[in-house]
Amino acid sequence: MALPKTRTVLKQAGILLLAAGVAALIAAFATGGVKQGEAQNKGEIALAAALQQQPPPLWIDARSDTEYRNEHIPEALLLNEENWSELVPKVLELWDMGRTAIVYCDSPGLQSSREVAERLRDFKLGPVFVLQGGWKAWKQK
Amino acid sequence: METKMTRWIPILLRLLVGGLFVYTGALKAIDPTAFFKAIENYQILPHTLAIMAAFFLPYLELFSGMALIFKRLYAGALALLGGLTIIFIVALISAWARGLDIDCGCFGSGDGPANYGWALARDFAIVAVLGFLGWRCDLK
Repeated sequence: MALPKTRTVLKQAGILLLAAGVAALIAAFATGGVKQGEAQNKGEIALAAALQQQPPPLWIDARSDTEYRNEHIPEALLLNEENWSELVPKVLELWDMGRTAIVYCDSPGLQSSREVAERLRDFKLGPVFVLQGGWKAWKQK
Repeated sequence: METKMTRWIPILLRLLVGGLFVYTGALKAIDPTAFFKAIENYQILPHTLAIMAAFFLPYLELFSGMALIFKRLYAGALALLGGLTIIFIVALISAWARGLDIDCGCFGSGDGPANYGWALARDFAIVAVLGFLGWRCDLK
């Protein structure tokens, strides 16, 4: 058996890590990093993919109370930043561990959905996604 | 007793695994944004770290894969790729346990929803091969 000495392994690994780091910096500089707009797509899910989820996802409506009362996705739960503390207990009660939650809204840039999704992720009960296109995407389906 | 066959096996495995990492590294390096999204889907790393990983990991795979093929910095490449694959295994198990229906990201993106069983079997096989190469070779 001819395993190399630890020092050799560390030295060689260090050289490779350094080379990869330099290349990554050059690539990040050359491409301008991950573009902000694309980065904002993090944690989003398209409606078609959302509808294929098994078991069905827990829909979270991050719009206002009035908009929710007018119309919402069937079985969606209301949860917005304005009335968070009043609304969140019901969501936690009905959110089974591991079930996917999908948040939607109709605000520009899906800002409300993103904020609600961010807070929901802290509970670590299951995957949380923002619905791409939000409420409009649902209405146009 | 060493035969022609047993001499060739480590060489073939080295080229195969090295080539695989060069291929996956190049795919990810070409489209870091897609790889970034794949990392984000795992919901493990904070946003900033995910961006850094999306740029760094592809080149680490690429250079380490080349190191295996050309047998330069060989010991370091074996250790790094072994460690990296074990991290991938942990991430896959974590995503599987949380019931995430996500793109594996093993080949950048567009792999489709992860077949966890297959992806884990492949990664365990890679770790085994890397371990075998580390045990077998006279490293300089």
